[in-house]
Amino acid sequence: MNCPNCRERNEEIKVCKNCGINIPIFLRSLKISARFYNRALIKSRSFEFYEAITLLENSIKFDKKNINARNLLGLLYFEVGLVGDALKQWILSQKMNKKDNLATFYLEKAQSEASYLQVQDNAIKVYNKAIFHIQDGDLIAGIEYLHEAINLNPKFIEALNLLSLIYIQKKENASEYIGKVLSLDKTNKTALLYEKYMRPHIRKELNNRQVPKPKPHQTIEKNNVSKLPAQQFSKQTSRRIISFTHIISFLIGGAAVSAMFYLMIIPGLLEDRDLTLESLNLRYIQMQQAANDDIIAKSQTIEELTILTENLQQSLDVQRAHIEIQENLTTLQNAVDYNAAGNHNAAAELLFSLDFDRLPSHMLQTAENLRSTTFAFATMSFYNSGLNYFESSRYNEARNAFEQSLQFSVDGQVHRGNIIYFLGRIFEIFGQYEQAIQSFELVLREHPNSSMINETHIALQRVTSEMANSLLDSLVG
Amino acid sequence: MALDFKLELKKYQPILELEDVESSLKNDDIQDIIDLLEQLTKKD
Repeated sequence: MNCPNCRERNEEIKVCKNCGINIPIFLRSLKISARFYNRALIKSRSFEFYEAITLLENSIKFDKKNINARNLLGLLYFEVGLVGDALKQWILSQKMNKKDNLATFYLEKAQSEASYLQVQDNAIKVYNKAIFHIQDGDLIAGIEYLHEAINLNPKFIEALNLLSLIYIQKKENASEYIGKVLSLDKTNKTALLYEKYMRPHIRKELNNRQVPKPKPHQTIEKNNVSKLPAQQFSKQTSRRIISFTHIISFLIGGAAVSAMFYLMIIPGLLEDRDLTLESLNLRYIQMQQAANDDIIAKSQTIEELTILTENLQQSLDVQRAHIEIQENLTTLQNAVDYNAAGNHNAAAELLFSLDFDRLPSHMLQTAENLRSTTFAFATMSFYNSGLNYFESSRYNEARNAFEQSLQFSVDGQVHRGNIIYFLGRIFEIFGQYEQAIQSFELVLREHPNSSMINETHIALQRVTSEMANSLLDSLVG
Repeated sequence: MALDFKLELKKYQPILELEDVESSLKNDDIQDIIDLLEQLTKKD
């Protein structure tokens, strides 16, 4: 169904999801507003203006967007001289609905009769001055202003009623003005109240007057109050007695409607409010519970994922270790193959890069034995190459070979001291005296059993002397 | 039946003049019973 307020499609039958109104209450309000309007329409057709005005004011209290009620209200205000209020209602009506709205016609009509409007507004200004003076205690000035207002607008019911009140207060005859009001608005409550107060006085006056017989061809104009004879006036009085019953009926009806309103709508509203509160509380609790459950579920998921991650990591580590072992075994196998083929240098290089910690324990001894063998071979092989290069004055190749030999040599090995000596000699030839001295001193300190120990002493002295001479030369310049 | 003049006089209030219509429209917060109910619900 579509929401009666915002016209949006709604599956809810109680509260609109779009505008949030309570749909049953809203529909009920619309009905009440329409009922007030319909009754006002009847009243206004019967010239019961102020009653119609009251009904229409109630109608828009229940539905401010009741355009027909606002338009009619404006019309009635205009009729009784309240032009400002009339324009206000039409303007509001036009704002709420610009299309096909009678209010537009009324406003245009009012604007086209600007002079008439101005006269009505002047009457209101004068009336407001009268109120000011009367409330200040100056009844004489008030009466003058009220007469002026009535002259400007003979249908000015408010002014006529106030004037009646002033005359009653001054104990003067207000019948004329009360009669004028009731001729314009036959059930005007204020006028009826004053009329009731004045009745003893009117009866007295009627009794004192001689009622002339109407002439055969005389026609009486109903709405021209000032020309009415006393007889007509008494007929009006009797009519008013009958309409008094109507007033009582209306008051009872009004009281019944109000009682209905309080009995039907207010408890419902309160009940709805309580239900709303209850349902909101329940919903809050449910949402809180759902949130807690969600947190617990997510915490569990996090825990499970953490355990899974740890397991995966462990598995990965194991896999990695396994791969490394495999790689090492492959390296070892290759080294074994090289050694078997007599290529000790290649086998030694492979074994040099081998990570013995990643080998299975049962392979360690094999690997160690192989390493000892191949390293010994490699040391000698590279040492001999180094010697050959050194004697051929190919010092760079000699140094590489000696360095590789040193790499594979182990402490305590016989040729280690020789290797270091020859490296020292190459440093000396290249003029790197400090490195040369360090090498020779190392041989003397750690390899005293080297076969090149004597050469090392001589070389050390020579290099030291060379270095001193070089230093002196540099100082002398 | 007595008529209380002062009480009756209080029922008469100044009427809206044409020049005040615009300001009256601006200042008026037009509400009906639905608006009042919404306010009541919001307060709760």
